[in-house]
Amino acid sequence: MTDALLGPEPTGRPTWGMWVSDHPQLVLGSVLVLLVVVTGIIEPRYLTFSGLRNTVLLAAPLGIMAGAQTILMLTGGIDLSVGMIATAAAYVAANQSPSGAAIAITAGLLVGVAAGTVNGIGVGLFRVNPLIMTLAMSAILLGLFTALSFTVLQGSTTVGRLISTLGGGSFLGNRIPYNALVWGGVSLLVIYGLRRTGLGRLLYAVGDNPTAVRLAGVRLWQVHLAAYAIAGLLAALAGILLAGRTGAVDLQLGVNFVLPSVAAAVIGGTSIFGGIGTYSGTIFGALILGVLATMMTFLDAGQAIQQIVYGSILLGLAWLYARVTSSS
Amino acid sequence: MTERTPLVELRDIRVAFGGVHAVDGVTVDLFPGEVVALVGGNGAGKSTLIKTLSGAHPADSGEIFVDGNPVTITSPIDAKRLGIETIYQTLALADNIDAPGNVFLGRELRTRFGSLDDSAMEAATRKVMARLNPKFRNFKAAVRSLSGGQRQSVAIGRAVHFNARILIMDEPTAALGPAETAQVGGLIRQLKEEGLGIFLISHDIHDVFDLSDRISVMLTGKLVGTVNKEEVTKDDVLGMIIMGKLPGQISKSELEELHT
Ligand SMILES: Nc1ncnc2c1ncn2[C@@H]1O[C@H](COP(=O)(O)OP(=O)(O)O)[C@@H](O)[C@H]1O
Ligand SMILES: [Mg+2]
Repeated sequence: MTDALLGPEPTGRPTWGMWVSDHPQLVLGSVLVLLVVVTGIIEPRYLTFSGLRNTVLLAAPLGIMAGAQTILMLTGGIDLSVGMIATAAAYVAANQSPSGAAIAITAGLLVGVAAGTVNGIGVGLFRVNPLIMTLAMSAILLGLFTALSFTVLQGSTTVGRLISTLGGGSFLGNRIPYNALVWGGVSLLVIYGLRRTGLGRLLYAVGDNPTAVRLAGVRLWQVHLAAYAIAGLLAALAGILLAGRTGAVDLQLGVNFVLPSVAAAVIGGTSIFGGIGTYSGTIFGALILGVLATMMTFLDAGQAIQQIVYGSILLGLAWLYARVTSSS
Repeated sequence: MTERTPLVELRDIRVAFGGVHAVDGVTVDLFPGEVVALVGGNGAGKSTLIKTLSGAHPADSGEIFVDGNPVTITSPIDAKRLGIETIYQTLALADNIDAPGNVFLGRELRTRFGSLDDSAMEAATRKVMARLNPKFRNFKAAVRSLSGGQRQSVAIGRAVHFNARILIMDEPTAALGPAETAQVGGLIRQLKEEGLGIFLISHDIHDVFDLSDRISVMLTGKLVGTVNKEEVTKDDVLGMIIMGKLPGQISKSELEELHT
């Protein structure tokens, strides 16, 4: 079901667009390899284990956050609060770190589920537009945690050793980051969930034709609630890993991840109109953005240049996907 | 016919949208093995009436009886529990999902481990399609790529698989070509033969005479009347649809007007 998502082409001469839509993973993989090679030409040291490891280290939290985005975009929704949910979870995990990593991680994840659940109630039950709902959630969390950072969360700026290792450490002779392991586990769960569970099927169907799903006897709000709660959980996990990697928690921790999380999903072929996309595509999207970020660092490009490059890539892809899908 | 208990009876149903009385005190019934056609011009209130039975849009007031028992239908789930399945005018399919996924939408089969049982769903869909549309082959393609007739068989397959007792079809052939229309007609006869009760909404007066036992005519939200097909002519029904007059009430000059 998920592989022929870009729809059929009219019969006749096979087109480049047709090939692209039939082999999305192959195309994304080629782009990724190309970018890695180009980066390697710019900086030969990149093509080593530690060079590549850094890309994965960068891409893992983004990939997990983009998983949240993919799930919601499939339903026709979006989550602009992933960044602030990540930040909030990181704060709480830092605050609870003295009680041990298990409690700290659990508390952080619960914050994410709670915020996601509120998003889900707003979108599912009160029919608030997802953009508005999650933008509001983001603002509320920012206000709340700004206030808390001066009071109860004062000094909660570092996470415990185990979280630091999980977010920033590597194993096998410093070759494989632990956060890649976490990302791998998350990936398996998300891919399995989308392909093989009833909820996964409904996420696609809701984005495809919500009326059909409602008339089929499904309570739409339950699907939305589940989707936003899971998205909150993933954003929180990404935030905790991020805190472990950077070693410090501040209010800016997650903000720069919101647009890249959408971008990773879009690059991977997920439609913002819902019903179309795969998490495996998003994984490629996150890796591509990770390599790009590394390349920008080697080129010594400032934040401004990076933003322009990201924006251009997004526009180019939107154009490409629109062409591929409209020709069917 | 009156001594038997109707399979379903809608009594004095009313639905208003703002100031518009879309359905204004309509009473219709349906017996097992019977096809009742609901006809009337555009905006007469046919779709709105059947939505009160399918649970898509509950009635403001009125009563619904199934097997003589009063029932409350406030959602599609309520209707499905009562064995009421609906094929909607605008096809209620998820375009990017395949035929088995659509047949089982919201009622997916699971394996022992709780995951989707795609092979069981495909097998069941093949079974029901073998009955409905033996030429149907595309079990793995997104229904977006299917023809109108194939998509309609998927929608009907869903109703049949879940053992509907009461089938509502809202213009099931509106989007179909002649051959596919004939196929759906054959299907309706077959299901009727099996004892289902069918409400058929159609604009095609020939289809209506071909397939139905009784004809209920609506005009601007009100029921003009219900007639036995055997006892009326097409002109009689056209008079009901256009002028809101029962057969016999219609004058010769009005009848001539109908034909101009
Ligand atoms: N969801 C709705 N909101 C407002 N008005 C509606 C709605 N659905 C139907 N109507 C109105 O109710 C009347 C009956 O419509 P409908 O039941 O669709 O007629 P039919 O199926 O006989 O063509 C029309 O005047 C239509 O405009
Ligand atoms: Mg209608």
